[in-house]
Amino acid sequence: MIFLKRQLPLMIAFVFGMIGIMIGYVPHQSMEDMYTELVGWDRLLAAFALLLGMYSLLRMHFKRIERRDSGFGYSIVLWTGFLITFLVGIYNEGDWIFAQRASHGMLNWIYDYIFKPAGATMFSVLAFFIASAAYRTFRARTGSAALLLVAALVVMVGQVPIGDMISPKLPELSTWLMEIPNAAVKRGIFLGVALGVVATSLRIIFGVERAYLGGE
Amino acid sequence: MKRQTLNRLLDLDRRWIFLFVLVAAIFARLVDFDLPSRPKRIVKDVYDQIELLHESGEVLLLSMDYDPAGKPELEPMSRAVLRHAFMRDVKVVGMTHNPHGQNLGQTVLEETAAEFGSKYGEDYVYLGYKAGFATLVINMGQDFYDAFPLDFKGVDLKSYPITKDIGSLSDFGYVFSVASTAAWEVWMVFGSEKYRFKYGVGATGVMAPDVYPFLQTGQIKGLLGGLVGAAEYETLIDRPDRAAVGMRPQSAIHVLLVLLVLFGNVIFFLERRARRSGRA
Repeated sequence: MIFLKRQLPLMIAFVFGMIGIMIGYVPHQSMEDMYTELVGWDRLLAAFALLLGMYSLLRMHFKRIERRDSGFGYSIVLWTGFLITFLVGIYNEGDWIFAQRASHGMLNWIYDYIFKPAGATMFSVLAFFIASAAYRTFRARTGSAALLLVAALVVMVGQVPIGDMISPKLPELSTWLMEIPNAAVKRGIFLGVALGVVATSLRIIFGVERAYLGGE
Repeated sequence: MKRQTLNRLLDLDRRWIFLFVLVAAIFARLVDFDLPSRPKRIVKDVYDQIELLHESGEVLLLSMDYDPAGKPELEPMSRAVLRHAFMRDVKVVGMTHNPHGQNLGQTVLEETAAEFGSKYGEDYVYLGYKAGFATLVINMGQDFYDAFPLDFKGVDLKSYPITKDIGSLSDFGYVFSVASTAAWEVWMVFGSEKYRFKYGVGATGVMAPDVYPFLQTGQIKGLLGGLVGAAEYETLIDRPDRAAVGMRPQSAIHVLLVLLVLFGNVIFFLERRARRSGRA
C-alpha cells in the first residue's frame, strides 16, 4: 500500500513534471503531439475533479450532521439544497438526463430566484463590511500609512464620476497612481510569485515537497 | 471633547456605519442627478478593438467568466460590449469558464441580440461551459473544433456560418474576458501569449489593478475596470444603462467612505493628543 500511496504518486509527479518542462523547451513535433494528448487528459481529470470536490464537500457536511457539530443546521441546508437541485436536474422537466437541458422549469427557477439573488447579496454585503473596516483600520499612524491613506482616498474618489466633478485633476492623478506606482509594485509581486511557483514546482517534481500526498 | 467620547467614536458600533451606507445608497438611487462619465483611454481601447472587428469582419469571442455573485458588477460590461458588437454587425461567440455562469451568459446574449434583431447561428453562437480552465484554453488554441465540437444546444459548430471556419483561437479578431476570477490571467498566459490573438479584459474593481502591468506591455488591449468601466463604455456607445445608473450610489458610497476615513483619522489624532496631554 505504501507504494500506491507514496512512491507511485511521486513517480507520476516526476515523469509528468519532466515531460511538462521538456514540452516547453524541446521544439519537436513529437512534443507538440504529446502536449495535445496531455491537454485532453488534463481536461478529463478536471471534470473528475469536480465530482471529487462535490463528494468531499458532501461527505464533510454529512459527518457534521452525524456528529451534531455546532452549526450542523447549515449542513442540513446544504444537503437539502443539493438533493433538491440534483433531483430536479436529473428529472430535467420529464426529459431526464439523456436530453438537452430544459431551457425553462424548476432548475432554472432555482438558479434565477435562489442562486442568483443569494450570490448577488453576498457580494453586495461587502460594501457594508468594507466601509466598517475602512473606518476602523485606515489610520495614519505612521508616515507610510499616511501616504497609503492619501493614495487610497485619491483613487477612491478619482475612479468614480463624482471625482471628475470635484476636480478634473483627480481622475488624472488616480490614473497616474494606477498606471505607474501600482503597476510597478504589481510587476514586482508577479515576478516574485512566478519565481516562487517555479521553485515550488521543482520541489514537487523532485519529491522534496510531499505535502500534497496528505497524511498516512 | 472628552477622551471617553472620542473613544466611543473610535469604536463606533458598526451598525451605524451600515446604516450610513444604506442611506447613502438609497438616497443616490432615488434622487436623480447627472454624473458625467469621461471614458478612460483603456476603455476606449476596447471600443476601438470592436470597431476594428466591424471593419475586418472578424469574430469576437466573449468569455463571460463570472457567477451570480459577480453579476451586478460584470454583467453591465458584457451587455455594453455585446450591444456595441451587435450595433456594428460584429459576429459574436460567447462562452464561460464558470460552471455557475452558463445561464448568465446565455441570458445576456439572448437579451442583447433580441434588442438588435440578431439571430442565433448567424450573428452569435453560445458555447456554454466546459471544464478544463487553462487546458481548455490551450485546447481551443490547438484545435477549436476539438475543444468545442458542439454549442450549448448540442448543435455541430461546423453547421454555423460564424464558427465553421474557426480552427484556433488565433482566428478570432478579438477575445474579451469578463472575469471575476483568475480566468483573465489564464486567457493571457495560456491563450494570447501562445496563440497570438488580441485580448482585452473586463475585471471587477478589486481585480483591475492587477491588470495594469499587462496593459503597459501591450499583452492586454483594453480594460474595463469595475462598474465604472462599464459606465464609461455605455457612454462611448451612447447607451446609458444599469452601469450609468449605478454610478450614483457608487459615487455616493465612495464619498461617504472618504468622509468616514477622514472623520476616523481626526478622532484618532484628537484621542492621541488627549491621551498624551493626560499623561503629561
